[in-house]
Order: sequence, then C-alpha cells, then structure tokens
Amino acid sequence: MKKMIAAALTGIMVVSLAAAVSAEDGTLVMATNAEFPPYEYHEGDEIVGIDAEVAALVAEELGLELKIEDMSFDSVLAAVQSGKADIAMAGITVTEDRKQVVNFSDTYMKATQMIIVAEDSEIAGPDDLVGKTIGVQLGTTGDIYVEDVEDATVERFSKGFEAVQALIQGKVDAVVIDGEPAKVFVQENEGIKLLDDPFTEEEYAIAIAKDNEELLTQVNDALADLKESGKFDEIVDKYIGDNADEAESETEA
Amino acid sequence: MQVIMERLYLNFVKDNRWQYLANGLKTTLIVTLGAVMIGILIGFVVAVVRSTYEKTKKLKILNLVCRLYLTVLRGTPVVVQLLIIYFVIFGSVSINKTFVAIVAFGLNSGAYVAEIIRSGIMSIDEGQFEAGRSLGFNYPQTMIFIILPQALKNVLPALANEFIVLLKETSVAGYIALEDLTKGGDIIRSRTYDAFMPLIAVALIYLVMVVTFSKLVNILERRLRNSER
Amino acid sequence: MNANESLIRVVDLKKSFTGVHALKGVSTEIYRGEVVFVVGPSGSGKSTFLRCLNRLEDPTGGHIYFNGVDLMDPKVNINTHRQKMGMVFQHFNLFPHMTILRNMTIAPMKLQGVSKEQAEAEAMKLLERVGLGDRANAYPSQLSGGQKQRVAIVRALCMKPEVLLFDEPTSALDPEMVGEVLAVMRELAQEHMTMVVVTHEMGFAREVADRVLFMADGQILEEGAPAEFFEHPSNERLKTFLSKVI
Repeated sequence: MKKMIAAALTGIMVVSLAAAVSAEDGTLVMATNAEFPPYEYHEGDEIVGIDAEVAALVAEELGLELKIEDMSFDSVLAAVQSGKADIAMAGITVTEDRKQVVNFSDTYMKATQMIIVAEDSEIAGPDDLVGKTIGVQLGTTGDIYVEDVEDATVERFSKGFEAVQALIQGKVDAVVIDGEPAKVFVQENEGIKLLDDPFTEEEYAIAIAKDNEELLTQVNDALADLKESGKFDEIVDKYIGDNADEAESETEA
Repeated sequence: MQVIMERLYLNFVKDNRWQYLANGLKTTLIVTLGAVMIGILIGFVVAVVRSTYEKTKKLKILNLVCRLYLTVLRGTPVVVQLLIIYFVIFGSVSINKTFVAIVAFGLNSGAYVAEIIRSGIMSIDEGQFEAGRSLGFNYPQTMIFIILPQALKNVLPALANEFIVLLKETSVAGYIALEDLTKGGDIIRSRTYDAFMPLIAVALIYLVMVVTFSKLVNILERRLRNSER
Repeated sequence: MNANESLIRVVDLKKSFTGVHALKGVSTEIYRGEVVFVVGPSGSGKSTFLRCLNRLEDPTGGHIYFNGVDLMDPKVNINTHRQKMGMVFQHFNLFPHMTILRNMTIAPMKLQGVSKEQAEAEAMKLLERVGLGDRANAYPSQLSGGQKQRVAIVRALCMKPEVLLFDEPTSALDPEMVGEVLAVMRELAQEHMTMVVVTHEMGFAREVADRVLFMADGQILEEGAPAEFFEHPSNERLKTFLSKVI
C-alpha cells in the first residue's frame, strides 16, 4: 500500500516537473493576484500596476510576449513551482520559507506591512495589536507575521479589500496589509486611517521556479537594465507618484 | 519515499499545521450540523404551508411568502447568499462568523429540504389524508401522525443526499474568512506552497465523511423498511 | 334505542364541481339503528353523497343535521362530529407505517384521551371478533385485502361511532375475499349499528338493508324497503338499472 502511494505521488511530481518547461513558446507567463493595488489590479479588461508593467518590460527585454494569469495569492507560488507560470509577481515578499520552494530575483521594491484601523481606534502601533482581531489577506506576509502576535485572532480573507470592508463594518479591529495598497484603501474609504509605525518592512522580488536558473539570470539582467535606464522609476512614479504623496501627507498629518 | 515523508512533515507536522485541518474540520461539522437543523426546521414549515395550500387553498399569503423564499434561495448561488448575509445583512455589526455561516447554509438548505418534503407529502395517497380526517383528526394532527411520518420515510434518500450536498457546499465558507476544512487546507497551502498534500488531505477527509454518512443512512433506511415487512 | 329517532337529516344537499352538478338537492333521513344502502349507476353521485355526510367533500349547499346539529354551520367543529361518524373506504386506507393495533388505537388515544391499556384491550376484543386477533402486531402490507378491510371496519369501530359510512367497501377486493367482509357487515347490521352503505352488491343490499335508495344524476329517484324496491321498482331508470345489474 505504501509503495502504491509512493508510486502515485512520484508520478504526480514527475508530471508537474515535466510541465515546468519555461518560456519556450514565445510567451512569458506571469502568475499574479490582481487585487493588490497599485502593484496589480484590474482596470477595465486589463491587469495593470507596477508589477504588470515591470513584467511587460522584462518580457520585452527577453524577446517574449507577456501573458498574465490572475489567481488567488495563495496559488501564485504553486503556479511557478508546477510550471503553470514562468514567473510570479504579486508583491511577493522574500522570506526564508518561500526561498525553500522558489528562487527569487533581485529585489525590486521595498515594501512595508502597514496597520489600518478605524479612525477612533485605540490601537496606536504594532504593540497594541495584542489580543485584537486582525484582518489579513490569506497567504500574504501580513498573514504570516500576524500569527506571532500574542492572543490575536486572525481573520484570513481571500481578498485584501474584504479585510478592509470587515474593518469598516467593525468586524475586525485592524487590518495588516502591504503599505502601497494600504494607502489606496485608506484614501478611498471614510473612517479608517493608516498607523505611522509599520508592522514590518520587507522586500519584493520576482519568484521563479527552482530548476530554472537560466530564466533567473535573464530576469535579473533585465531588472538591472530597467533600473539603469530609468524606465523602472518611471513606472513606480506613475503609480506611487502623485496619488501616493497625497495619501502619505494625509496620514502624516 | 524520503521526499514524500519530507512533504508530509512540511505540510502537516511542522508548526503543528495539522491543526488547521483539525480545527477546520470542527468548524465544518458545526456549520453543517447547525445548518441541517435550521434547514429541516424551515423545510418542514415551508413544505407544510405549500402542501396545505395545494390541498386546501388555505394559507394563500404564507404560501406566496414561501414561494418567494424558494425562488430567491434556489435561484442564487449559496456563496453569494453567504456574502450578502455577512457583508450586507449583518453589514455594520461584528458578528460570529460561524453563526453567519449556519444561518446562510441553513436558509439555503431549507429551500431544498422544503421541496423534498413537499414532494414527499404530495406523494402520499389522498386516502391516507381522508382516513385521518374521517377518524376526527384535524389537519395538523393528520399531518403529524399520519402524513409526515410516511412522507419523511419516502424522501429519506433525497434528504440524505441534500445533507451530503450541504456538507460539501460549506466549503465556500472561507469566503467570509471562516476557517473551515477547505480554508484550513488553503492556509497550509499558503504556508508551504504545496498544492498536492493539503488539497488531497482535505478531499480525503470530505470523502470519508460522506461515505460514512451514506453508510449510516443506508442502515437507517433498511431498518425502516424492515419495520413494515 | 328508539328506532324512529332521526340520526342524520339531510336537507336539499347540493354539491357542484367546476361545471358539474354532482348533487342536485338531496333530502333524506337516516334513523338510528337503520341500515341504509345507496345504489345507482356510476356517476350517479352516490359516493359524493356519502362523502358529503361527514364533509370529506364540502357540499356547496343545503344542510346536514347530525344529532340535531347542522354540520354545515361554519361555527361547528366538524372534527368532533367526525369522531362519531366512522368511515370505511374502498381502498381500506390503513396507515402503512403503523401496526394493526396502532392503526386502531391511535385515534381513541389521541382524540378521546383513552389510556393505552384500555384502547389496546378494546382493539384486541374487536380484532378477535373479526378473527384477526393474531395479527395485532403485523403491518398492513402483511395482510390480504379482505383482512385489511376487516381491520378498517374495526378501526372505525374503535371510536365508538354512532354511524358507519361505507364507501364501496368490497369493490377493490378479489371475489373470494368479499364474503369475509360482508360477514362482518352483516353481523353489525344484526346488532343494529346505524350504517349507510354505498355498494354494487345488490344481493347483499337486498338481504341486509332496511331501506334502499336509488340515486341517478345527483338525485334520489326512488327509495323503499328492499323487497318492494327490488321486486316492484316504479321508476323507469331504476328498472333499467336493476335489469342490468341483477
């Protein structure tokens, strides 16, 4: 019986490895979770955002056509691993656990996990989260780090905006989520505010399958080129330029 | 073999990850049982109202209300109903999500249970009704002592099937961030980035529950049948 | 018991289904202890008439006085009166999910507050009278048609009714089982149980009835004592009917 299970499991793993042929049909498939502004989100029929545009330029450098696959955040790394996608860009923070299963490119963005609370909340910083009910998006770094908060109840939503909605409706005490989308959420919703002290600080990188060293090198080269040429900053400014300044000044005030 | 052991360890043992499944299973069972009870209660009432109207043309307004309920609840996906109840109906209050899920799945299941029981009532020969009434039983007494016991026995397989469907349907409870069995698997997936182990484990647990329940229903059915032979 | 005391008095009873007049104003009287047979061609309204007596069918007009109370009065609780009007159906209508004993005791226990012991003792006595004492714990599906109908009769008797209404009690039976049911009914008639019987069994009607009613087209066209009724019918329709069935 054990042997049969072992055989079945090995079979499945072989199949998934075989599927991991990368970028050979002229496309670069990117796995993402397009509910994470300003990194990736839907605008009309298109998926736009910093990650989407950076990926498009990387693909261009590699002479490939970019294809974006939208899925839940907890599936994007599995997609890269199983070869369903060549790269994953979804505001993915580099962690030791994740390094076990995928390779990461050079980091391209610094991001912070921020805390959103109701305007009249008594929570003033990360230390006040003890014993509170905290909303997060399942599988995000916020979700993982919040587990370490003492006595806190973690509510894992499939989508970031649902966590924010739950906060507005008083169902959770705070939401821990990446800084950039947090600014957008706070800007677009009444009655909630961003705390000044970040929950954590972290770095985003592109995830690539372990067995695809070649693509890793290519992506790193492309990223370096983009940063050098200033195209990278253009994209970031476009999304986090004016709007973000407003948001920041509001929260700082 | 080594690889499999490692993956089993990573997915279920490390950081006590099996607890996501255990706690999720508990939530799934609580939600299902609660919803079954609400479903049966609503189902009975609606079925009796509807068949009373069909037999006697009484309870016209109640019948209309019931039909509206059936149309809406059977005409929209349960996950949308769940989200509406959580984010709209209980929109501005902090409320126990298990309770919300029980209410949502119970309301939904009630609609299907109602139609199953109604078909059971309507399948009982009119003569049974007349015999009850001719002895002097009033309408509710005839329903309770004579019609419903027979109707329920006839629809037991269909009811059991509905509860199996319900058990599986609760897997969308994760949409309101309720950590049921499926969500438990999702959490492990989001930690280990392994799709295979958590999903297969979750599937196996559902399968075992459904097969066990079906077996129990078979035994019950056989007993009921024997009691008339 | 006063043989001339009226138990049921029917005045101008009317029943119409959508567009069809099943009863066109029927008036008659049933006396206490009397055995009345109702005969007639199918579609004559005889079953409708019988089923209107305890309002299983709701009449559209007229009056039914039972023990002097008008059952058509909307204030009357029909359920209490039905307890005193037992009914036996063509298709027996035993409750299949209950034992024979339970079939017989449920109504007295639930409706008349009779104790379980007493209800069962009385039911057993009746069952033994009709030769089914050993089947008390059987289920209806284990009985033959004739046995089922005998149980149905004693089930009605358990409520100690003042009248028994029979709706073609032998029509659904195999011929060899008719006799055992008629035997029970004959015995009841001899004990002066008040009975109204709708049937096609002309020989039995002639033998047992005190009075026979002939119905056609929703009306009573002729009535009389069986000898007169069967030997010297005056109504033309009755003559034709009898010539066909006898």
